[in-house]
Amino acid sequence: MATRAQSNSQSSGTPTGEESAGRSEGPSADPFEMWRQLYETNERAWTQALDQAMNRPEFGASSGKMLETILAAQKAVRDNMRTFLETINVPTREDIARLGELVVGLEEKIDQVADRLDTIEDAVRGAASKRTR
Amino acid sequence: MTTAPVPPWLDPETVWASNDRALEMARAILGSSDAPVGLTPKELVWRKNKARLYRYVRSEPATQHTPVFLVLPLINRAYILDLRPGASFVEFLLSEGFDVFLIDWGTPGDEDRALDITTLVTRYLPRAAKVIQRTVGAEQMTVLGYCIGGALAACFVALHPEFVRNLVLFTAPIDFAEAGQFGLLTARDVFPIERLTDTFPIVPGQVPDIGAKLLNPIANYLGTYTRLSEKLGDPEFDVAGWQAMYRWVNESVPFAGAAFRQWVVEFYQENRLARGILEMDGRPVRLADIHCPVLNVAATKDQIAPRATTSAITSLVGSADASEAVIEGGHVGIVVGRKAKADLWPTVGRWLRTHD
Repeated sequence: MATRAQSNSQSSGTPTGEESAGRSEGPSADPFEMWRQLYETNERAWTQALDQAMNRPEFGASSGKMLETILAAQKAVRDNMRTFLETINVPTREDIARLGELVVGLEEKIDQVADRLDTIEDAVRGAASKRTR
Repeated sequence: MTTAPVPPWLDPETVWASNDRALEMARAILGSSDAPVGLTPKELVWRKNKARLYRYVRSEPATQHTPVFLVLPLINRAYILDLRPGASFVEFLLSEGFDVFLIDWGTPGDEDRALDITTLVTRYLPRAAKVIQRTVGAEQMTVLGYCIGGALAACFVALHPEFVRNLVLFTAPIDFAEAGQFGLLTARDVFPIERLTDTFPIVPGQVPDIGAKLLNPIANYLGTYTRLSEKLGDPEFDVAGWQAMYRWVNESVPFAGAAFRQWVVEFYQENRLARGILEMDGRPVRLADIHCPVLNVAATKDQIAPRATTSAITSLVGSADASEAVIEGGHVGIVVGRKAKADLWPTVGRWLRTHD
């Protein structure tokens, strides 16, 4: 899916040789610099470790279970909210969505009628051009 | 009495410099939601439900005969191909003399829970193509699909070859036999697709977004900000460009439930398109029915749509003129940015000119 690899789309941001030389003079007190050094030293190892951990069917299974648990909780919240809104006679999201579906369906029907008119128009035009020949 | 030396981390110069850097980072990140994007002038020529078909405004008449119809993915904002002036594939195509159309799928609402990929391919794309025919007066067009949009474009071309002169695919997953980590995450016995679409009629954009970021979590969650803090010290760093890209990366679009289910089940789990058993509206969708010239663009470091998923198309189509351009880079990097300008755009421009 076409998202996300921000790292792929940006320039590498690799420091120049001069900058690197300057940075390697000694430990820095700048927290950003400390983080950068920590990141650069460990990035490859961290990525490799996570790759090994995540590129396995067990990770897929575990994340599936986690998602299922979150969904169960989310569904309970949604169901309770719907029951509450119905009890106090307020339209639920589903009610409003159903109205929207009717409008979308109506638009599709109009499109179908327009398609048929186009077909008829094309046929009439074709017949007319044959007659004039 | 002697005074103790000030510890280096309390050195006022360092403290204030770090403070400024932190504020600059916060400003860059927080300001990204308003970053100007998609600025090439365009006019709305057709709309259906949330989908919009735009025609990009040309200052002079097109010099190429075949219009280009851009089909974008469902889960991303459409402006990725027109990110900002100087980093816009649309702008490039216009400068090459093409008439450019783009379908933006928009943001689905709860009322679109039943909107599936079949509907988009059989009811939206053909009508949009008819509008392009009428608007330009050209019988056929080049259909160019990016990522999921590429899979949709391939299905559309297989079902409606009458509209299409050329098919161009950018990192479009077609064969899911070896779908990499996404394949593992969405495997039939582990991914609760029914429960997900039952709970969320419209699948939140964060679901595919987190899945994609987990393909390279260190780079995506830590590297992005580490590099930003580094680059902010560079006077030549283009903050606006970074913000535009950051905005796109983080501005995910929800997926209509039925479309998401169909994408996961029929494409990822059952691999119906590559196996030639996909049906839409009762009609078989056979890639072998594609006989027009095809250019497939694959990225060497694509983790989202690995080479195995994208490269299969050239051997599956029935076209005698099917070629592949392999571009150095990642799924998004080959489409925008400096490398895109140097590699992808000229390659595609040349191919389109010779197939006009």
